[in-house]
Amino acid sequence: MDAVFWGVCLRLIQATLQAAPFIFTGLCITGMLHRLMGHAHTKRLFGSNSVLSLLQSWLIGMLLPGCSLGVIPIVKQLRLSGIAVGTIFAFALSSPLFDPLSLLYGLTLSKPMTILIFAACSLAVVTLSGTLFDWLYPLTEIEVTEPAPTPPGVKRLLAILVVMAREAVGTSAILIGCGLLGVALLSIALPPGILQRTMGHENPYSPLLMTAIAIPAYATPMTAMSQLGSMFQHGNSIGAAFILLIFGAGMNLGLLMWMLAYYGWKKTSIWFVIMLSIVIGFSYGIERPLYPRDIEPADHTHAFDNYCQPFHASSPPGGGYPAEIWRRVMLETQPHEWIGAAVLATLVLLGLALHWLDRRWVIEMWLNRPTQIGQISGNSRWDITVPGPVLAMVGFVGILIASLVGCFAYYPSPSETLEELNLAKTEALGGAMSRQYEHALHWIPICENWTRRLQVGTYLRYGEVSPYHRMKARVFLDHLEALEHAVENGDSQEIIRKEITAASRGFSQLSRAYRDELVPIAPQPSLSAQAHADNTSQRPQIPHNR
Amino acid sequence: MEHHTPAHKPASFALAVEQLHERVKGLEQTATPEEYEQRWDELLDIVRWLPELAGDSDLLRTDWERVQRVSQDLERRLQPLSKDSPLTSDVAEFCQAQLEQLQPLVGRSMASIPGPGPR
Repeated sequence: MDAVFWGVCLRLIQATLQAAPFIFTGLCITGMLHRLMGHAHTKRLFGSNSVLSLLQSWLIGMLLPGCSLGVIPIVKQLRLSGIAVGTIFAFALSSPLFDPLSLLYGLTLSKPMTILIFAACSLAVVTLSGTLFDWLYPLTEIEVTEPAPTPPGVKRLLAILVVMAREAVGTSAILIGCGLLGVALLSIALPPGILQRTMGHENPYSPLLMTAIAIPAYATPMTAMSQLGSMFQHGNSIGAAFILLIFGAGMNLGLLMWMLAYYGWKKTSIWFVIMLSIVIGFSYGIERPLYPRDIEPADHTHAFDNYCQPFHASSPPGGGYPAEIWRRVMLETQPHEWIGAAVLATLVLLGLALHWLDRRWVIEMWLNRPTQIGQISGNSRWDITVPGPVLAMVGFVGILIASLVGCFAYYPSPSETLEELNLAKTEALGGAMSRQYEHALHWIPICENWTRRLQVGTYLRYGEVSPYHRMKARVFLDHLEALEHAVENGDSQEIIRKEITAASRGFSQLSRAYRDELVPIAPQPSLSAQAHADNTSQRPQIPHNR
Repeated sequence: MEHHTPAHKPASFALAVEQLHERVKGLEQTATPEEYEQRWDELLDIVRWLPELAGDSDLLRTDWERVQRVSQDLERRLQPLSKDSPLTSDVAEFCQAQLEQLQPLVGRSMASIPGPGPR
């Protein structure tokens, strides 16, 4: 019982920290839609009740970074702006699937075309389901009286902050809590590692099982993408991978509760059945055509261990559960997640303070009080009043640019990445060598992550990752995988040592390829020239021309 | 290891090149149709594995790219052929000529690996 309870605590903390930056972004977008765009302009931006509006919303969702918990306050605001359900869900489902970070990551996976086809399929899913639902229920647009506009200036910015703070402790927070409840329920229901052998390509039930897991599960776009990478690497079901992306990243219990609360069980059920039919239909349709033929399938994967209980009741951690949770959280949490969590906590405190203050003084009364023209614009001809929708669009473009710039920070240059990878590799191989297997198993996924980031960082800076460099990364990843299995299976030290040697050699070759051979050396010589080179030189000179 | 590694997968690039030479010769002399079909499939598998095996060696970029080209050329030539009819001499010659291109790379592929090379 202890293992289950503390396991739920760990999973909730992990999910909350991962979601925090996205929830903050979602609150920012909500605040800007609410106080700057207004209902009419929001409806014009997203459209409503037409096929074109579904495409518009899908595109906006693809561009803006988000996760399925972060979109909850946004979909609430879209509903208040009088937008139809089909259009809202086109945005809600597409926004968490990809962002620039995860899309770049996905394009370095073994089959980048599969990711592009997944993106195209997601467009087909939202278009088909949205069109069908809007045709069945054309009257889902509501009319809500818009609150008084806030006068331009600092007050207008403060008003955005107030909206964000109120949502952070309002119904959005409750719905986000429902979304996180799914994570807790899964972690109670699924014993440790139970999903490791369930998503095989040959198993016809893999997509169905994945549907049952993915709907209550929560995954950020990057988590979903790395899980997809693991599934491709292990030759798992492609249909299940597609469902993981659509439902695991795009859906959660909070979104379902939102639909149930505002549209009733009948509409929710019909929408849900339409979605399930289309997504599951697609998943079976793409299973065979997209399955990679050059992969030797494994009968397992660790990609879904994060949805199961983290602790084995039979082997509790030596230092106790709270200490183990603390250790894992400190090890795993990324800097941007800490920052997101801190900002979110501040917003929650501010929201609680405003709630307490409401009994005596409602801040919106002061914020929305009309200001005299002279007080706003002053006398300078440069001090112009920028319309709210223009400011909102600047804000959205700013978020998009920030996420693109963030790509360069998250995916550093190859030389920097190789240094990080070298450190992680030393920890992983050192752990395996000294029989500190838990240490090794912690660092191997970090090595895998840095190897993928190495490829994306190269792509960002050089415009391509050559087949040679892809192959070097794949070989190193395969050796890491083999070492991971040897350690997990409790293989003999001789086998583990052999895998360590292979992984170490794989890293040296990878490192040389990315340090010295990123730029092609010269045009290919003719066969006779090659034969001459073969006879005269054992190793060609490689210029250091990075 | 839980990944299934086929029994006919060579352990290194050097062994793959050696095996391909032997298998192409062997195909010309194979007797029964069942045996022929199995060996044909295995031959194509090894041809497809060449870039991966070369990637797991000390070959530099230009050499690896040559391996990839040879692998693609061989696959393009062999793939459309029927498994039922024996290997014609011109296809066998083409294969051996392609494999000859890889021979000089075998030594370079093992620059940092101690121990015996190909048998």
